[in-house]
Formats: sequence, C-alpha cells, structure tokens
Amino acid sequence: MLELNNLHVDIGNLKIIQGVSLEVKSGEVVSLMGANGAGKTTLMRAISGLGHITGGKIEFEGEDITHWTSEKIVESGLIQVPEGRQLFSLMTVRENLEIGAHTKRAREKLRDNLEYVYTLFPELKEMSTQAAGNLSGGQQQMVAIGRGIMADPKLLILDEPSIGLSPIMTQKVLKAVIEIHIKGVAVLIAEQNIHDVLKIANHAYVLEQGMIRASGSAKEMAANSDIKAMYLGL
Amino acid sequence: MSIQVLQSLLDGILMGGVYALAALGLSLIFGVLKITNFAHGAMMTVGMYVVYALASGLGFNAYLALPFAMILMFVIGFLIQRFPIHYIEHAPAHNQLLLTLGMAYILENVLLVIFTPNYKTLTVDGFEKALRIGNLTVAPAKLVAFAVVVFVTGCIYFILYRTHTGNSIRASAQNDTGAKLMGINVRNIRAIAFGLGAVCTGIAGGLLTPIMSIYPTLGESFQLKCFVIAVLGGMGNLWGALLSGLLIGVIESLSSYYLGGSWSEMLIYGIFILILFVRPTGLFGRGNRREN
Repeated sequence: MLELNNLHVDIGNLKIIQGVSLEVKSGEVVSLMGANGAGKTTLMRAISGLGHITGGKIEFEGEDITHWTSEKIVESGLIQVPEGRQLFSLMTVRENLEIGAHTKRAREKLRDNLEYVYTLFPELKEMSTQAAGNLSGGQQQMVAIGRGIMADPKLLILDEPSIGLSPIMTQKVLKAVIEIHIKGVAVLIAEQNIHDVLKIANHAYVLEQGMIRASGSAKEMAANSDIKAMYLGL
Repeated sequence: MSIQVLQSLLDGILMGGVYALAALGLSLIFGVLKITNFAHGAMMTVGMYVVYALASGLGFNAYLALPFAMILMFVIGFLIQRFPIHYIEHAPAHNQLLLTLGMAYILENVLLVIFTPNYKTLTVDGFEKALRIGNLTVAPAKLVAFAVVVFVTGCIYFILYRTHTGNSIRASAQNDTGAKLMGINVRNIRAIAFGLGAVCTGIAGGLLTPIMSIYPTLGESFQLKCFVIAVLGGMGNLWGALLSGLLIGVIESLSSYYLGGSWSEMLIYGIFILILFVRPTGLFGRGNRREN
C-alpha cells in the first residue's frame, strides 16, 4: 500500500534520511522504532509531503506521490497524526474535528466519522465546545487522533502518539489504534513504548542515523536480543 | 462632561473605527503569515486614490466606487502574497521588513507618477453639510464611514467564523503544520488572507478620501498608526485590533482638543511605549502561547 524506495530527505544542508526503504501493506500495523534524533519524524513528515526529498521514491496505492503536495496526499487518504499534536488550540474540539474533514472526500463522510470518533473517545463529545488548547495532554492526543480519523484515512501515520502521557492515557491511545486498525485502516506508528507496540504491530523497522538498521516481523524483533538491548532496556 | 468632550469622543470613535478596520487587516495578515505588512499604509493610499480616480475621473459616487476599490485591493493583495511575499516566508524578519517596506515605496511612487504630489480633495454631493445631533455636529462622511466599517467588519467576521475558507484561514493561523496535514492548501489560504487584509486597507482608505485631503505619501502616518493599534490589540488578535483602534481614535481626538494637534501623535506613541513596558504582548495580547 505504502512503499518507500531508497528515500533521501534533507533538512537544510543536513542529510537526515539516507536511503530508507520500507513497506506498509494494506491492513497492517507497522512500527517504526529508533532513538530520538534517528529521523523518524523527518521521515514521516516527508511521507506526508512536508519534507525536502532529494532522492528515492514514495508510492501510495500504486501511485508515485514523491513530489505531491501535502493537500493532494491527504486527499488520497494518507493521513498523519503529527508529533506534538499540532492542534488548532484556540478552536473548539468540535471545530478541530470538523477541520479534519477538510477534503471533499472526507466531508462527505463527516457525520459518520464524527460519530465514530465520539464512540472511540466519548470524552470528546462532552468537551466538544471547549478550546482544544485548554485540554490535558491526553485529551489533546485524542483530539489529534480524532481529527486524523475525520480525514477518513486509508493509512494513518501516528508520530509518537503517547509521548508525555500517563500510563493509563497511553493504554487508551494504543487501544484506539487497535480499534482503528480493526476497522481496516493501515497504520504506520512511531512509538516509544516498544513493548506495547510490538504486541499490536505486524512488522517493525529500526531507524538509526537515517538508515534502516533492522527490520522484520514484530515477533522476530521482540525476540531479537540486540533490539531488546537497544530499545527495550532488557 | 462638557459638550466639547462629547464632541471629541464622537469624532474619535468615528475615526477610530476606520483605523480599526485598517489595523484589523494588518493583524489578520500577521496572524496568518507571521509577517508585518509595512506596505499597509501605502495600500490604504492606493485605496484612497482608486476611489478618488473613479469619483473625480469617471464621475462615480465615492461610495459606489468602494466595491471597486475592494475588489482591486483583493487582487493586488492576493498577487503581492503570491509573487514576492511567498518567497520570503522563511527569510529572516529584517528581510521581510525590507520587502514589504520596499513595496510601500513602489506603491507610493507609482501614485506620485500618476497623480503628482499635489493634495487632492473630493467632495461627495449631498455630504458636504455637517449634521447636527443635539448640540453635536458630525460630518456625514464620517458617519457613513463608521457605518461601512461596522458592516465590513461584520462581513469579515462572517467569512472567518462561518465559512469553510474562514475556518481554514483560522486553522492555518493557529497551526500551519496541522493545517497542511489536514489537507488545507496553506499557500492559497495565505494569499486569500493577504487579499482580505488588503480589502481592509482599500475600504479604510476609500472611506477617508471624502474626509481628508489626500497625497501619495499620506499612508506613512497610517502605517505606524495601524502597527501601533495592531500591537496594542495583540498581533493576530482581531477583537483586540478593533478595540485598540477605537481607543487610539479617542485618544487622538481628545488630545488634539485639549493639547493641540501636534501633541496628539506624541501622546499616542508615548502611551504605546508605556503600555508595552507593562504588557509587552499588548492590551489584549494572548502572549506567546503558540504551538511549535
């Protein structure tokens, strides 16, 4: 469904991503692991059209989207819930969700998707008239994920969705990811809680200094002693 | 309160409304583009001359010329953003300042070439005679100006808060990355926001044409006034700009009554500096709470 082939991404003069190839198959959950500064966010932003791609290719559903604009990529169903949530903090929860359904395709399903978001996160319905900026971190993350669902994703990219959240909130967020996955949406996720994420993922990639250091099925990766040592602290 | 105080208050509020509209445009542009438009005053002057040219050259009623000024300024604003400003979006602030200031001088000099530096005045038939309300006198042109400002401000709020495009403008202002990742064409939205800001200048300028003598460099004093008003209101805060506009209008007219015209500017900027000492984000500023 999503295929990166030898992708190179720069920030300024720095070569951040240096030849990354990875694949997310339809209906899969793929985990992208790596320490801070490995380039996960740069890679994910580039997939969504917000990076300076200097080489390689990104294909989504068979189309070459390497140099598409972010709005065209969103329209095609590749949606990102970005690091740091990037909410519209002065707008209400409801407005944030509605802006999620910005594209024509998503607007047609606005009502259904809104209902789905409210069943996934019932709290959001109660807080729908509050300014997003006044919510707690966990609640804001729910809005961010909800906003992503409103865009009607075929593939959802989640960049560190549980960062800074309490353990209870983290579980809630990961549970929502499973729900979304069950509904048939493919997921590419960067997540600090490797232990939890490997339980729900099909495949995993380890990114180190802008290159894929290791990859394999989630089971293999969880059993791999190097990976354990590096990322699980075992 | 003496009748003179009431009279100054009334004049101040009416003129303040026009300042407020122009400053609203500046604040809107800053909110979305994070750029201070130093061509704002010059764009106001262009609005003045568009109305003047249509009225004195083609015999339009000055107020019927306003919609033309509005459309023209939207197009000019849209193009200014699309062509030069788009390319300096990530440039250092001083480069951005030089570019918009440079645009101001270009616009001013185009006006100088076309209209000469001579003062021009425009009278609107049926609007020359001052109205009396009780013991107060009001120039009809100022009343009309205030009414138009209220109407246009209402329209801009409607666009920003009740339309799909308006929601996209506000979303882009609050979080550029978030907006892009939701499929908003932020590049277009920026041009539209600049166009709307330019419409504010066109209308504010056009409304002043029947009120004062105009000349090509008149915009410079409005430039600074708009900037002060927008900063006092908290850059990007539209309600703040409106309230500050009225406030500056009132301070200006009260101080010219009590202290004389030459004091009023000194007082405005003096008060401005004092307020910035106490509240660096402006009277109605939200501070620097902004994502990323």
